Amino acid sequence: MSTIRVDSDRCQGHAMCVTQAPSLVDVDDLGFAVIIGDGTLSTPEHHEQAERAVACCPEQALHVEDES
Amino acid sequence: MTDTPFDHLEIALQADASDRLSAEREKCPVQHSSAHDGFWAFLGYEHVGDAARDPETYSSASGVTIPAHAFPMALPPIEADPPLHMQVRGPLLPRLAPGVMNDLEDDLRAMVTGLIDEFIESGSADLAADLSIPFPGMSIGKLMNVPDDDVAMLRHMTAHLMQNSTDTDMIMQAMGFFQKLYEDRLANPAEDLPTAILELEIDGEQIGNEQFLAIMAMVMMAGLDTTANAAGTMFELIGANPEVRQALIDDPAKIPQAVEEFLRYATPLHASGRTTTSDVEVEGCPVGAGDKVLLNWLAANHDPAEFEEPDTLNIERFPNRHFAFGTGPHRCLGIHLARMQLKLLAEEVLARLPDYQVDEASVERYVGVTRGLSSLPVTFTAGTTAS
Ligand code: HEM
Repeated sequence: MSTIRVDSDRCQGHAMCVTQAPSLVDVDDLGFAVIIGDGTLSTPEHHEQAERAVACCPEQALHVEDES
Repeated sequence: MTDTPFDHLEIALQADASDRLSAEREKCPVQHSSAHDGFWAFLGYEHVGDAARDPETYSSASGVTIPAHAFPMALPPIEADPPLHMQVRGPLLPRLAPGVMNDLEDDLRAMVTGLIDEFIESGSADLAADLSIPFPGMSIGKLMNVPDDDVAMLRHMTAHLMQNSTDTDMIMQAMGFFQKLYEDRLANPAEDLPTAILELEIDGEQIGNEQFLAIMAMVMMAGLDTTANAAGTMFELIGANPEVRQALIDDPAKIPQAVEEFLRYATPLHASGRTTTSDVEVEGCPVGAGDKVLLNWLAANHDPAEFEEPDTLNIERFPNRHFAFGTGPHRCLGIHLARMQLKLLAEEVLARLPDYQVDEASVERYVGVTRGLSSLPVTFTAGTTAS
């Protein structure tokens, strides 16, 4: 199973990821990215959203962790 | 042949600024200029991004404009380093978060509607002076949670200041307005931005009257020219690209993504300055401690190392990791407000004057800290007012 993670030291709250992966990432009250639930990518749609969210972050604060 | 030194201000005034910056970047992505008392220009995406994310080496505390601005004091949060920086920025974040801006959407849209009503029946307008310039001042008034009369006053005051930035009478008037706001919120704290600024603590102590005025002025100024010029350049780009215009008319849901591309392409806040705290070597260049460094966001936003066909306006561009709002800890605090304003402006203009034509011969450009348009005359099929 793969999971999407946010590195909160890097996130500056551009909120680009939220537009690409609305079912995986949300913003908190300060505007920083938070992962919805445990971030597990359980559908092909999740994988696609996660890939786009990782790609669009200007701070490179998101990544996908692969576990077999 | 005389060698004229690299000058970002002279370049930013040109319609082909990004081409000229790309030519400079190809010559040398990090170069020294003797203009404005000397500075290093960073022109590549990677160097600009790395420096912006390293505030320990690239300090903002000695100012972020090259040449220096005329204010007698540093203006936090933009001109502050850690740890002071986050003491000011942190408490303001929730007041400028996406959710707060969504709550303002209807009020902000009504302002745009009202401004368009003022010219829609005539079939001609200046999309800079009549719309892009007044709207940011009004929006900031909303953000400051002031009564409608004050919003109307701010509309005129800020528009005047944007065109006459050294008019000391008007600056005094603005400061008088902030002073009243200070005294009012001291007596009646509210859930709003002025109260959040008032309650800021620096090193455990609540800020005083003077610091309130400085921060208030900083936040307001940061939101005026930037947004006005982002809007003006957006309307110019839409006017010059018929297929982009048609795509957005056919599917307004594409507007937010297109706004990011307009911002990348035009980059109204074209460059910000830093001062190094230690000797560093960048691209083989010896940047000495205390040297001025210019982070050229516009040049970075047209770097082919990051953007495919950087000089093509592509509203479907993905990914679009542009630096129009900066990057790193000083990332624009008004990003969500600015995006909301630009989205509303594009939606309303394309719905109500979709066939506007720019009178290109009469477009007027200007450059200060930001680059954009002071005049964008257009004609269109006259419509009717909304109210
Ligand atoms: C399209 C419009 C805008 C653009 C292009 C823009 C651009 C930028 C950029 C590039 C920076 C980073 C400067 C640096 O790193 O030195 C910045 C910072 C800032 N902006 Fe904006 N801005 C816009 C609108 C706004 C608005 C509407 C506001 C106010 C509500 C605002 C408030 C600020 C503040 C307070 C900072 C300093 C943040 C910090 O240092 O922590 N901006 N902006």
